[in-house]
Amino acid sequence: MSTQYDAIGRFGFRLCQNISDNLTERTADFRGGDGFETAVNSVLSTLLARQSALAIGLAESPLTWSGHIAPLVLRSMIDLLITYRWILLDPRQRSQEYISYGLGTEKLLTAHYQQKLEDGFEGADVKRIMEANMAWIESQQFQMFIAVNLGSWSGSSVRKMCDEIGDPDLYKFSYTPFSSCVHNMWNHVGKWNARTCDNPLHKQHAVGVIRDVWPIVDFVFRACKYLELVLDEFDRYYEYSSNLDTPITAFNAAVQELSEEWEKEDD
Amino acid sequence: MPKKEKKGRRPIPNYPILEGHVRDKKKLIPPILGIPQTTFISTIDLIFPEIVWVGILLEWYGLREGIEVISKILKKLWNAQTNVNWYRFSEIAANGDKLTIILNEEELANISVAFAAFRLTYDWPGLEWATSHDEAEEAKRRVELTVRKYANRFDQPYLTVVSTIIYAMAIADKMKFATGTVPDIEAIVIDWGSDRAEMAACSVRACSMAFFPHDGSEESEDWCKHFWRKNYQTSSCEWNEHAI
Repeated sequence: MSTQYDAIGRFGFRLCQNISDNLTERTADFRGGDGFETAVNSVLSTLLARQSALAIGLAESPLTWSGHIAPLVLRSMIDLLITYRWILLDPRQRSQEYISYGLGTEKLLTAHYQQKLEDGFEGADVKRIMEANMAWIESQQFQMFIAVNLGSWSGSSVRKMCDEIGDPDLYKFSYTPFSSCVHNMWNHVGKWNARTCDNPLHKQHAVGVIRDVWPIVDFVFRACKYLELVLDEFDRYYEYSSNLDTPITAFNAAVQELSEEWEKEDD
Repeated sequence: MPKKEKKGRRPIPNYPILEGHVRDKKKLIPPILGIPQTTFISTIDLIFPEIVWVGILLEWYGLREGIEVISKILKKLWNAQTNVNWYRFSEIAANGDKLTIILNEEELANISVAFAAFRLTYDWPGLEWATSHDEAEEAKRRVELTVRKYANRFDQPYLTVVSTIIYAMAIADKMKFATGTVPDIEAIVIDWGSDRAEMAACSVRACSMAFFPHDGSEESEDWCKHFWRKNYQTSSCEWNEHAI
């Protein structure tokens, strides 16, 4: 059993290494694109890092490879992919809107904390949070010049964004199913956290349970897939090509090795 | 007719799933929910508790004799008081005084085993006339076994209960059928699993939906809620070991 346990560890490590290498190559002293378009370069680079962080977070944690946790991460990765592609349709305008929205959201949160303190809430932590938020905001722009957007950052729904990027299936078959997990909807909870009582006198009520499942490697594949799609968009925009294995190529090799080590142990 | 094998899952429909759906703001409404002047009620919630007494008598007498006993008594009750829904447990309990006038001692005794079991198990008023040799535990077991056997509305036992009521209504002239539309109740009893029985089952269920009205008042739901609440309190959850 310990050999299989180690094999899973090595599998995760190989993938994390590949993800980290792919990111570093594209971000460490990377000066592709137009040096004047700071917002575009910042957003595309940081979102790529975010996608990599999500993929690593999943790959290095086998206990998250289940329907309880993996969809939370994967849905975020799909959301990021949609956002990335949508920004690339009009990078200058949209990357600026993306940044402005984030600054405005942080400004609103800080204002809420401020109100809380004025209402008499006593908390030194809250004051520190306020100060840190404000410092972060004003390192980029004076807060008095920041508008707060109470609607969606893109001014559009995710479904419409997918239509615009030419991939409605991404919304229907990837984003929506995992959204049920994120929002704890019945079509997730009713499968993963429900067990039907067999007593007819109880009218088939469902009782809460945590379904116990073996780690599902396919979730890791999904993470590699959604990362690779973002890498492809990055490379296409910056006309960049890499000699490194793509995440999916690395996954296929790693899973082959995992499978061999696993069967060896079973024998 | 060859019997069909019971399948674990319903097949995927052979028509587009969203066919006929009408958009209403952010919802897509299926055709069946768009039928006007129609109220949907839950069979298990609001019908089953009203008719489970029939199951107890079918168990006590056996199917054929049970149908005879029940249909004769219901016919007599309807002949005497046509505006009462005598097949409903809550109406029988609410009209206990009339019951004891309309039915003779022997007839009351014939149905007492069922209503005494309910009296002892659920402590519901209006059933003082029902006597039985059952102790409270035995009565509770009797009800429990009946609920277990008859609760599934797609299965034969439940359909025999509904068929019994339909038969009783038909012989009491409370229900009439156009030529060629009489449900083949016999198929449910002797040929369960066949296409013929399945068609009869659909017919019987459709009849029950049309002829078992629910007035929606609080009083009419009181018994059903009491029934399920008591069952919930007095029995434990059960788990099929092999279920996923």
